[in-house]
Amino acid sequence: MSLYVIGIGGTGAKCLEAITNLAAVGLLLDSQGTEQTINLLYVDADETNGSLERARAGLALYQRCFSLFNDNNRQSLPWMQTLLRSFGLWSPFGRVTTDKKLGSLFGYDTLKQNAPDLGNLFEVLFTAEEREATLDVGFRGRPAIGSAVMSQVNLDSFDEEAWGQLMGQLKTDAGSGQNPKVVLCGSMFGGTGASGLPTIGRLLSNRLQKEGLSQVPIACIFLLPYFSFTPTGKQENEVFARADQFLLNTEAALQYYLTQAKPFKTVYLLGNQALANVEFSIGKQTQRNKPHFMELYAGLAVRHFLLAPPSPEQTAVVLVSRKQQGRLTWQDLPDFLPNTTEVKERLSNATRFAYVWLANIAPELDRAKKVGIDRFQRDAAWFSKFFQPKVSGIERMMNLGSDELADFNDPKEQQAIAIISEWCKDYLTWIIELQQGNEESIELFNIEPLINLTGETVRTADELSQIVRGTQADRSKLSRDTIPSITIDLGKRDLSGFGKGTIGLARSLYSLCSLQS
Amino acid sequence: MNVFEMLRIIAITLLGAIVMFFLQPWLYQSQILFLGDVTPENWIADEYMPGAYLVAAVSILGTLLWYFLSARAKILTSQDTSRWRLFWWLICLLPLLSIGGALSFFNTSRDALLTLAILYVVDILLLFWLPTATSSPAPTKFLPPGSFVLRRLVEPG
Repeated sequence: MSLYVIGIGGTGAKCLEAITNLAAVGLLLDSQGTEQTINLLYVDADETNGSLERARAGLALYQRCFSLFNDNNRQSLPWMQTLLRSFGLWSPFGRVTTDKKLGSLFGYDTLKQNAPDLGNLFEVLFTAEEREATLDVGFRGRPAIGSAVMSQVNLDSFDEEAWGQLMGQLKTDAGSGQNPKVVLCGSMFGGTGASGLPTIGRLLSNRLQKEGLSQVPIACIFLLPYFSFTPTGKQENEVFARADQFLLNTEAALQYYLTQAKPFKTVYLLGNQALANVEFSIGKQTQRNKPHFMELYAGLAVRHFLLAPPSPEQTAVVLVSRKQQGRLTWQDLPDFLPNTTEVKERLSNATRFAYVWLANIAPELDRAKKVGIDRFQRDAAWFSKFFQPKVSGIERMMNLGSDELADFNDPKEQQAIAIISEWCKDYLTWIIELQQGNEESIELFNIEPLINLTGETVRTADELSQIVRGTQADRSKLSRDTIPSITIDLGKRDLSGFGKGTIGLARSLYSLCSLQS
Repeated sequence: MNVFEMLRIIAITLLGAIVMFFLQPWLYQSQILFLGDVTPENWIADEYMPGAYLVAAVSILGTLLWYFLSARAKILTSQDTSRWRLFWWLICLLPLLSIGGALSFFNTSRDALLTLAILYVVDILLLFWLPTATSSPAPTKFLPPGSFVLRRLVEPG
């Protein structure tokens, strides 16, 4: 099975960031747990949007990390098993050669001269400020502006670079019986998402019909208002997103979708009563909001759509809710199958792994470089299980050389260590900010130990067992759930099925960091 | 505490005890190791055995002390492990000092002095070094000298 996810606008990009992380931990594998390809496309008018840059950087890092794990042991763990293919960024201004102003795009000055009635209508629909505002920062939170620009997008746009490649891949997947599915996600209350989702959904549906692919199901994930901000240093008549209009925008959009959301097989509506406060930004690099648990829900909606069997009904509306307002616990995160805890297990496994890697293994490998293999292999018993030990001639004659293991000093191994460390940092940053992003009580992880990571070896042994909140375990199990116990197991257990070198070490550690271990 | 490590310690200690209390006295008794200035039977009963008990007791005590202290040690990093190397050598001093004590207090034979000193060193190798090199607890398993080779021989893979 293949999945195509199109993130529209800043919120769409943040959803793709969540999807990237869920894919990394193995939550977007199909029901057979087989290798999965997820195709991603970013759609944004503001090509330098901070949230978009962050999501794309996270994806690029994941792809680098994923390529390291390209061996026969890939399927030994759900981690790093999903291939994420990026089709890059598509902007509705991709073919625009004039300045990116609404007036210029519609030839307002020409209209006023040649068709005054149309020019006057244009004036009624858009204020002078809206007509003259430059749109390289996006649609400034105005669905009306976005809709006008998006209305210029037509089926031919789907032959442009990013879309053209995506459509080509989709056709190939459909032809090879991979039953592709398409998901669009974005906000319903801002500019790009609110205006782009319906247009792109409709055009995509038409295009698929034209290509004879009408059986490809399309879902959309709409995020209702979940954050707010207070504009700073802005004049009343300037054109920028206004949080107080979010609900109004949403209401209008919902009415539209009630009658027009025909292309979508499944609709996911996600909303939160308490709005998280974010810093005001008109766009570009400064529009870099912290991750929010709503985006995690969006990722889980994608998981639901991926795993759900084709529904006979025309449209299914999927709703979930929290048990208690203002509080989010593991029980509130939907698992695909009832009474399972796969979401908790896989997110916890990855978080615990990233913590142990950064708190102990990476600094230890750094020390190995400094003190040399000869000494380090005696201080860390696990080292010689994954890397070639330094041995004397006699030991070599006794067949203790372990030449089949990786050479620690090989630049490839060092690069792999650096990439895995970067992925761990990126993933933990997402986990930390997911919990910091709002004033609600997010009771998934205890983030204090994660925040306190400095790159040095952590000197407290018992923090590991406290990272995942809401975990019931007896005292003896808790006392064994420590980094020293895990490193002892690394040196003791038979972990040869996970490979050798840095990759084998990372996989082995990942398996030992599972909540069940 | 690992059962196999404990069993290895017990087996090697028994082997060491057999060597110390049966093989080595026999070497003196049969005059393979020549004693000209004392009666071998009396010397073995009055001097060798008390000295051997002292060296054996201190060595076994040293092994157990090392095993239990390092098994309970709060070792969080490889640097912590490295610090325990010094501790191993400090514990190793105890059996070495016991040789001095045994030779000073439980030997009047000048003929036996050199061979006895060598045999006591062999006994320490059997009763302290070998058990610690083959059976130290996981975090310190490669700390005793030679353990990196021995441990991979007795625990391949």
